[in-house]
Amino acid sequence: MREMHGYAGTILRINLSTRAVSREPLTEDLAADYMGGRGFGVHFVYREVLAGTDPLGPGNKLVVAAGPFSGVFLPSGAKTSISAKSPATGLYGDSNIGGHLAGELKYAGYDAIVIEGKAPQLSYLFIEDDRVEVRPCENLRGMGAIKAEKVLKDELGDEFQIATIGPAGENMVVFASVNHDIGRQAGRCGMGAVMGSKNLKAIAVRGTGGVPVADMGALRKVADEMFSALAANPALKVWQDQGLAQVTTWSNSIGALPTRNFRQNFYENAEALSGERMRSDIHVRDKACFACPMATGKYCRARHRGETVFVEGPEYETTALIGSNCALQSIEEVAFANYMCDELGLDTISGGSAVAFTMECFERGVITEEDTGGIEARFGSLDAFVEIVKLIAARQGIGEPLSRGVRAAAEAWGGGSQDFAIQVKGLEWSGYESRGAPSMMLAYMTCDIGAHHNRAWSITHDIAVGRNVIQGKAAKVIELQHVRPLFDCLGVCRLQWVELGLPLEYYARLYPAVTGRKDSWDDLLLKSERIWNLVRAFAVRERPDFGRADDQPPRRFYTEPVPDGPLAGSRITREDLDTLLDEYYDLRGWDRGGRPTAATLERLGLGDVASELRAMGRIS
Amino acid sequence: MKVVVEISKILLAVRPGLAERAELDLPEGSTVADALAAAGLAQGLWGIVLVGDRVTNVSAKLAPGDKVTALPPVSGG
Repeated sequence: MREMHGYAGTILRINLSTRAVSREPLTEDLAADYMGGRGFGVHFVYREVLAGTDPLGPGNKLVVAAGPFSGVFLPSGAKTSISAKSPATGLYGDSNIGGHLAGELKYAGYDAIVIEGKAPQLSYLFIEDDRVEVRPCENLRGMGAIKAEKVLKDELGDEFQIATIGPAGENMVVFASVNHDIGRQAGRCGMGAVMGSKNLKAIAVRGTGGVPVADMGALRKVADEMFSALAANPALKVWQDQGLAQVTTWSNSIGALPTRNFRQNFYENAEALSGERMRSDIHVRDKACFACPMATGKYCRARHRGETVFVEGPEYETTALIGSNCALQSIEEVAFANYMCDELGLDTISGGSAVAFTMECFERGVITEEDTGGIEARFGSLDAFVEIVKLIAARQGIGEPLSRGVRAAAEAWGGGSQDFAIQVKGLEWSGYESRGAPSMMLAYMTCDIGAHHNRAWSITHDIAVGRNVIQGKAAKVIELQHVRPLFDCLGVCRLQWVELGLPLEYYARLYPAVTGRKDSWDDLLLKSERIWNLVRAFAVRERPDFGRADDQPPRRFYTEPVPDGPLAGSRITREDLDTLLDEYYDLRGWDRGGRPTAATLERLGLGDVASELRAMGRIS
Repeated sequence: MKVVVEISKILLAVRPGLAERAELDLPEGSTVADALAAAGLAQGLWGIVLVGDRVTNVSAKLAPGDKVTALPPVSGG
C-alpha cells in the first residue's frame, strides 16, 4: 500500500453487535476532500447514518477520528473528533477532545474508528496496533468516568490512551460526555450517550508505529518557528498560570457572563470565580496536551461537606455555566460541581444549564419541592446542584426530563418555561450571553451543532464595530465558521492561533509539509465550507420541516432587556434577528428558509447531495 | 511621564489602524486604563494587561518608563 503522508492510511471499522472487525484503506479522495477529524466524522455520518435513524439505536455510528496534524510534532497536534447523530439535537453532532488519544490512534495504524451496532454486554474496545478486541467489562458498570479510566490504566498500563464514559453515558443522558486523559472531556452533543447506547464503556488505544510526513525538513523549520514565537509571547505565562479561567473577569466586565440562567450577563460575585482565585485558592498543578507549551489544564482541589476531590478545571465554560449561571459562591464550589459532572460523565455546559433552568423553574413556582423530591433548588446552592446532577445521571425524578435536555424539560414542565430554556436546536447555550453582541448571537443561532461558541467567536468584532450594529455582521460569522472548524479537521488545537496570535500562515505552510498536498489556505477553507454545508444538508435530509425556525434563540433574548450590569437595558429585537439571518443566508447561498440551494451544493462539489435532496423535494 | 503601550497582533487584527507600539506622554498619576485609552483601545478589546511582565489591574497607577502590554480577550477555544 502506498504511504499516505500525514495519515496512518487505514480506517478501522468495528461492529459491536457481531464483533466483526474490518480495515479499509483511507482513500486519496477522502483525505483530500475531508482532511480528517471532524471532516471524516461529517463524511461518515452523512453517508452512512440514514435519515430517521434513532441516535440511541444500533443504527447510529460513532466516528472517532484524528487529523493529518494529530500526533505530529507541531504545536498541539492533539485533537480527536468524536462524531455521530446527536441524541441532543437529532442532527449531526460532534465534539473534540485534547490530550493524547489522536496521536496514539495513528501510531496504532488508524486515522479513524467507525463504531457500529451495539454490544450484547457492557464492553470496551481494546486496540493495540493490529490487535483489536471487544472485551466485556461488567466490573466497570456504574463507575465514574475518571475512575474507570484509572482502573483501565492500572490494568493495561499507562502507555494506553483511554476514553471512557460515566453513569450518565451508560444511562444515555443526551448531554453525556466522553472523558479522556483523567479529566478532559468531549462534552458537547451527547457523544457519551451514543457510546452508552452501544454498551461501550471505553476505548483503549496503544500504538507503536509512527506517522510519515512529506517533508521532515520543512515541517521542523515551521514547527521550530511556531514554538519560538509562542515562547516569546508575553501572554504565554498568563496562559500557563490561569489557562482558560482568565476569561471570567473580562466576560463579566463587558456584559457577557451568563448569570442566573441567562437572566443577567453580569455577576456581582464574579471576582470570587476569577482565574486569579482559581490560581491562589485551589490550584495544585498544571497539565498540557500533546506537544503544547500552553499547559492550559489546571488540576485543582475542592472540599465540600468533608469530601476532598481533585479535578482538572474549572476552565471558563464550566465557571460560567456552573458558577455564575447557578450563582455559586466561590471557585472552590465550582470546582466541586465540576468534579461531580466529570465523574458522572455530564457535559458541564449542558449540565450547568440544566441545573440553572431547574433553579429558575423552582423559584418561579413552575416546579415545587414535591417535584424535586424535597430539594430546595435555589440559585446559589451547591447542595442542590449536586443532588440535581445525581438525579440527571440516574434519570430519576426531575432528572428524567432534564436528562433529555432543557428543551425537553421545558416541554414537560410548561408554565412558560420554554421562554427561558436556553438552547438552540436542542443544544444548551455555552458561555457567552449575547443580547449585546449581535454577531455572537448569530453565531450561536447558526452554529451547525446547536448553541456552541467554538465555531465562531466574534464578540470582539461586535465591540470593535459597534454592539448595536446589525447590518454587515454575518460575513464575519461565516468567515470564522470556516476557519475555526478547519482546525478540528486538521486535528490540531486552535488556541495557539486564536489566543496567542500565531499567524494562520504557519498552518498553511504545515499542510504541504505534513501531507505533501499542494492546497493553499483558501483551498482548505473551501473544503471547510463544503463540510459546513454537508452538515446542513444532513439536517435538511433528516427533517422535512428543518430550516429557519431551527436557527432561533430562546424567546428570553428578544423579549427581556438586560436587567443590570454594563449593558443594562439593552436587548435585541425580533426584527434584528431576521435581518441577521437574511444576510447570513444570502451570503451562504441558502434560501431564506435556511436551506442550501442546489447551485450552492454543486459549487462545493456536492452535486450528488443536491440531487438527493432535490429528489426528496427538500431543496430547489 | 513617558510610558510604552504594546498591543498584541490579535488585537491589531480586530482593530486595524492602531500602532503595535505606542510611546505616550501621560500626566503623572495616570492609570493603566488611561494609557490603554490613549493608545486607542476601548474597554472590552483587551483581556488581561501586563505592566512589565506582571498581570495588573487597570486601575493601577503607572510609573515613568513602564511598559504596558495589552493581551486579547480569550475566546474559550
